[in-house]
Amino acid sequence: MTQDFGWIHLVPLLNGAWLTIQLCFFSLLIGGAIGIIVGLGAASKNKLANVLSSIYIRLVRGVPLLMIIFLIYFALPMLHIGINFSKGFSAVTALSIYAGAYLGEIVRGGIQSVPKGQFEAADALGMTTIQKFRHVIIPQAMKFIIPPGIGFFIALIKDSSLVSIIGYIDLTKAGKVVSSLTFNPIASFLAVAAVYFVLCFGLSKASYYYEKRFLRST
Amino acid sequence: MFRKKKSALLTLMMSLALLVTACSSETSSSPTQNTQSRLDKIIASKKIRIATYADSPGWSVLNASGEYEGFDPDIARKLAESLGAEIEFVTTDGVNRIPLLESDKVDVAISVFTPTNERAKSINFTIPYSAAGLVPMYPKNKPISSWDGVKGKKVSVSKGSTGDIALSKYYPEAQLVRFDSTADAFLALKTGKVDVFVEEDGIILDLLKKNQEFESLPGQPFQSSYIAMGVKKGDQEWLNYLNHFIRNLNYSGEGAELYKNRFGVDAPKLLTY
Repeated sequence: MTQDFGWIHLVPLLNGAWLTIQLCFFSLLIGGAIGIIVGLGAASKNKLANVLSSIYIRLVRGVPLLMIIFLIYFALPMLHIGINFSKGFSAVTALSIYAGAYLGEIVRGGIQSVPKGQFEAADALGMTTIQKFRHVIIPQAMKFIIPPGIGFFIALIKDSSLVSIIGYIDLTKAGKVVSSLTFNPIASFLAVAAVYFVLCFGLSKASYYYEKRFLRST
Repeated sequence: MFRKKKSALLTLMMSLALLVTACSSETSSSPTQNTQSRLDKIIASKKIRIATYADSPGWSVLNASGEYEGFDPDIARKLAESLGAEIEFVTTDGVNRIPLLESDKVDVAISVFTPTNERAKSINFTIPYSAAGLVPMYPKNKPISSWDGVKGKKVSVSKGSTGDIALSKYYPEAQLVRFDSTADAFLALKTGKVDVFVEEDGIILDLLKKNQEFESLPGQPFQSSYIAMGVKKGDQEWLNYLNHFIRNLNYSGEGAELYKNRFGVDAPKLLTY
């Protein structure tokens, strides 16, 4: 009934890793878009945008990711209002909402780290708001946004293992499955750790390269 | 002043969100009437969604080629065959089995489900298709002489498993150490973190073959609980069909045969209905 741990068990682990990558990729895209909007809102002088953005950020950051996933997948259908999202949609939505709040906070911090004089200088040159952000503020804010942004993405890759609550077999869950199949948890989880390491190390390398290549000059 | 107002607003919104979810779980437990039975839906769509474990050795695991294998998937395939439907397996665990049923993500849970009275208040159970027989596993050089020997000892179990439930009830004096999976609970015994490991007889017998330094109590396993299928409340027609299917499975001896194939020991005796 139990099998010995072998190369064949890398197959479910890699399938799990692929799922993790897909979920994180789409969540980063959508979450990144939410993050930029929310971050701009939180940094703006507009009272309404400011309050709405801070409510979003505080609410989402105050609720565990596990609960967000659970509520979207299980609680919405129980309201009997005809909403019953699929696994994939629920997982990406939950991760995006979660990422949006954290990235929003990072974007806000990045924009507010740009010295006030730069805003005033852009205004003095008669730039429109869009021009001001496009040519002056965002390029300078990027160096405060990218490093913590990548840091958050690395954390998201690991946090995304929570999707196993809705029946997804991601990398971590695949490790549990293989460990139950082989009764060799040490080998199974070492393999899982190795795959996570490859993913996250690659990302931090890319982030390091980006900083060196593009951010030195500014 | 403004700050205070803002936090009050936030608290209000949070409590509102909590209220919404609280209400939702209440409405879900009331039976929904005048809806089409799952039985008709399955026959019409030729698709059945079944929740099962991916990491419960013997009962149900997802193997390296991505297929579910074990006693529960065997039963699930027989059930699907009887309905002429194709199976869509949904991976479950001890935490999300009931939510999966309540939120209508699956039609039936065939997932080593022990029909406790508590659980039967929120979902419906079929008649049992199997029963759990528990045995202890311990090192040869630190043996226990009977089940009473677990009292005061550190005992590892898988969280929410039949071993967990039975020991909590019959041997509260044992110091239970609960792990996420059976494999972790076994590792705790192997690394000397606990004195005894308690699991289903089929799993333990298999482990004993590969781990000669351990042994188990001779004789009959400790019969602790029935294993049944779980369905969402309020669909009596679907429940009738499943009960009927299980009655045939038990009486024909087919179920016992599947059990013997998977666990290598005789199936536990069930009451004949």
